[in-house]
Amino acid sequence: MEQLLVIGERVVIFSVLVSALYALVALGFTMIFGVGRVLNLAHGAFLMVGAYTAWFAQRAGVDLYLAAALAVLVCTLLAVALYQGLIRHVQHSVIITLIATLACALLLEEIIKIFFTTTPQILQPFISGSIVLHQTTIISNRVLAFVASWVAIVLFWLFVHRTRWGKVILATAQDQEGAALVGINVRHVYTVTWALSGALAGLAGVFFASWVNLSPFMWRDPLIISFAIVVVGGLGSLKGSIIAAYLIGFLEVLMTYSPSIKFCADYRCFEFLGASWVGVPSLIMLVLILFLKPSGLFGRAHE
Amino acid sequence: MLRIENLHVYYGKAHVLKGVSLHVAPGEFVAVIGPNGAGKTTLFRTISGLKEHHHGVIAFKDAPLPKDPAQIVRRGVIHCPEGRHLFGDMTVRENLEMGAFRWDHRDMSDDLERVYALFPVLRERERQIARTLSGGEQQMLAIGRALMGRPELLLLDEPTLGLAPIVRKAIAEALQQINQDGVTILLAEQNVAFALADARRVYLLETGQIVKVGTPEEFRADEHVRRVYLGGV
Repeated sequence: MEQLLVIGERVVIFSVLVSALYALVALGFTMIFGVGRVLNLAHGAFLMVGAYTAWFAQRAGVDLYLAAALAVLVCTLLAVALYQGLIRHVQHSVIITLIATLACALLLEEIIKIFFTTTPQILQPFISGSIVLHQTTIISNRVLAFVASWVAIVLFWLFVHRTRWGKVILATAQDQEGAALVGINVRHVYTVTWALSGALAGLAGVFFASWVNLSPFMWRDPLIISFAIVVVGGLGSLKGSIIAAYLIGFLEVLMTYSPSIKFCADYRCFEFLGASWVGVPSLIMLVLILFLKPSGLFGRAHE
Repeated sequence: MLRIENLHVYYGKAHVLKGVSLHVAPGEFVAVIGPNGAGKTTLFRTISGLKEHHHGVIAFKDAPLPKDPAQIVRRGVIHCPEGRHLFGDMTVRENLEMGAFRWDHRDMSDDLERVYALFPVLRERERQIARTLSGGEQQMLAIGRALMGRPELLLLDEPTLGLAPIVRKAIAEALQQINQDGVTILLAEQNVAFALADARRVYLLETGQIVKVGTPEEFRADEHVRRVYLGGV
């Protein structure tokens, strides 16, 4: 009983921490979809580029705060380059856009393999050590990632809802043609949203590296997380994304701590539940939502 | 003020506008009438830059209009589109404020007052989300948003389509007021009786070509117009 309480406490604390990061991971992805109706499958790769940029800069002796800023800058430029060089010309076709962004992700994966090999790397944390909360030990750097994620989300919300540029972005998201007819340059708005999305991905990448090692394959998880969050929360809804991030984060952490049942026959073993099932509950939820409420928990059906 | 010469527009291989020419003088209220699919909406979308044209001239105040919609708005040509294209999740007030986008940070209280005087219901609904308005209110908001941009030439595409007669009347009166205040109006209208009541000069567009131009009186006297568009009265 005592042990169960400790596990319960850990599940709550860790899911609160990691879910904020998931919300940050999905933020840029949600925005690009909400404003431009583009599913950017290179979003996870942006995070990876951010993480590797910070790691590379750190290895070269740059202070981590400066390295993080560099990661944000590189990802911003990368996102704008991808939009201006490619997406802008194919945006009218959903299929071509999906293929183009996926190709971009795979290309970035190969580039990282060539330069940094497939060996997993570790980004040194902003702050080392850990803190103890009741009976749970938490790595300090993950607490920092949690705080920074929330700060970024709140700042983003204020930007969108309290500034003139934010309103212009909202207007374009709600009706692109209406926006053009009041004199908004829709191309500029798209460029700005891609830049913002890239910046958020760069930041998310640096903090994502506080939970996982760097590898050329690390872009897949954040992409799937973003996709699940956006579908569950309702496409383009910020509030929905945050709630969905917490649902998915909680289910994942819960699964990590759930006991597993092992079936073995001959030399093959099959594990039911447990840590290796981490990604399953969010996918099941994704399928359920698509069946029961295709517009997402907080989405409205678009005409 | 607006001069269009030999305008050709295609959708893919479909030749939608086949050499349209028309002109609008400053202060005029001109209507383009014609059946569904004649090309009225395409004509308006081409003027406001939403659709590109392959051949022909669109000149505003003796200078060719730019191709980019945002630049065209800055020249004072403002398009109130078919289907309204409001910002559905914004309030009435926010929609109107977005309408003044091209004026950046200038004080717009006078413009707001003018719109509220034309459509008092918008003042009552100031804080309501645009998507939740009735069809007539949405149309008033769409016209109000266009006026916030201080148009010199206002392009109105089917502003009373599907609205109740009493709402139509309110909008028709507002359009006369807007025109008297010095705004030149080009109106697209499927309902010929409405167009002949509102406008002072009328173009008839059929399958991408202007087939007749004249005053409402001339149109009412025309045998073809009476038979096809006015139900033979």
